[in-house]
Amino acid sequence: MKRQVPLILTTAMAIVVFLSVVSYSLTELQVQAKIDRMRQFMTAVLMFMGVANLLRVHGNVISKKERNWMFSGWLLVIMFVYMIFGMAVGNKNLTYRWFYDAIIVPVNGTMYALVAFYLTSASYKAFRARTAEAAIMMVCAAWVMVSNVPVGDFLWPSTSALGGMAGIRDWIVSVPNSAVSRAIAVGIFLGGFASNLRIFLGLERRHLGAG
Amino acid sequence: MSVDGAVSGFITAIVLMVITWYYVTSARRGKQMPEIRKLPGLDAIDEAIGRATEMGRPVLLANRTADVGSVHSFALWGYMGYVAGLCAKYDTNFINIAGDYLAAAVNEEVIKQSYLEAGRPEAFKPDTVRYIPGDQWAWTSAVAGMLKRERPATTMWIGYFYAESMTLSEVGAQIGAIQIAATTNTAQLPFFVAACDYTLIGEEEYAASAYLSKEPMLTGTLVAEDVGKFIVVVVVVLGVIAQLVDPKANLISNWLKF
Repeated sequence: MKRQVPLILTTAMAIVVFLSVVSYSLTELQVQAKIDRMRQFMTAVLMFMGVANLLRVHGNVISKKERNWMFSGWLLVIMFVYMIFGMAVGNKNLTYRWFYDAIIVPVNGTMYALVAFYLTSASYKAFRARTAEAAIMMVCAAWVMVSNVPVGDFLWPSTSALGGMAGIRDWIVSVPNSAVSRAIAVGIFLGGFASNLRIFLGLERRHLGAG
Repeated sequence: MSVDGAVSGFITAIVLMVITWYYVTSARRGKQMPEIRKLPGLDAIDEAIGRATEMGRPVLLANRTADVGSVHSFALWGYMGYVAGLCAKYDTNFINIAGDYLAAAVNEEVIKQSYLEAGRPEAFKPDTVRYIPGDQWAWTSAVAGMLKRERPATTMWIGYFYAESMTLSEVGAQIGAIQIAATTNTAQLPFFVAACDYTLIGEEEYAASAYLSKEPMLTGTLVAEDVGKFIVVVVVVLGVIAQLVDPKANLISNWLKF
């Protein structure tokens, strides 16, 4: 029963979603949007459970004075202050939004900026021309990088033969690169389709605890 | 009212369903399935877990974006069940980090079941599955911190990733972990290829449950997928020929709009 009910529900939902995509009248009825609303309801209920769970877990850490308990205290303070303040003034309030814009946005920006440094160290490893394929990749990558900055146009202007560095860059990006990307995209579509069918036919059962 | 591609899409879906149905029923009847190609990334999982066991360090498997309605999650659970089972067998600490609350609940069940199947249900610890809300950079910094503190010997990045792929895989490389990545996001593939030891490209991500279980019916769906690919290649070649013969007719693109 534990396995049959989810399998039946999955198959029924798969049929409804498939029909809602291919049938014009079901698309008009917005069946998928209505199903998604059930998920929104579940999210709202789980939000309360999440708050209760955080309170229990971090409350225990604070009461037992476990390692780094002050971070748990800080988490609960921030959570309740932001929640109560938001409920009192509404999410359109400028001060409420300022907390987000002044703290979360720059912190996220900082983390995103760090990617540039990680990218440099990864490129150093990837661009070592140990094989013919790696050498081709290194040359193409160097070409695309140089042609994207003003020095590229200075070395080989786009007004000269073959459109200069930029002309060859455009060819690399739009011909071999696009061809490979599209081949991968076709594979992804077919893989996704086969995977969906496995779920639909009940062959993919790992989520039900079956091997 | 007509919708572009509705009929051709429907026909394509039916053709692919019939091919899949044919190979699944052939496998059910005991017909020999063609050999599927080797996927080094999946073959390396056993070796990577063995290394973690020898070093006495954990195995970490994470995904931020997978929710219960996503096909990526079903692929992820295929990896998770297999890896958790091996970790339970070898008494290796397994850590899963989820970015979706519902997926975290299912992950817990999948891992518990794998531990049970391996005969070691007691090995499941409350902190095996860790849920970190899926805000991109908050999640990434939390996972990067865990990597630095707990130094897993094996990391697996499975599913759809965005820009966090570079940070995670580079931090993993810095701590010397064997890294296996699988994603269908072509924009992130170069980062994984640069920083990870093995990368499963595109649809290879979905092949885990079929490939690892070696169950003929599941393998049948992979064979059907390859037949589908062959048909696409044939259609592309026919389209090129048709276009060369009559450049104004646009036979294939007109049919696809139908």
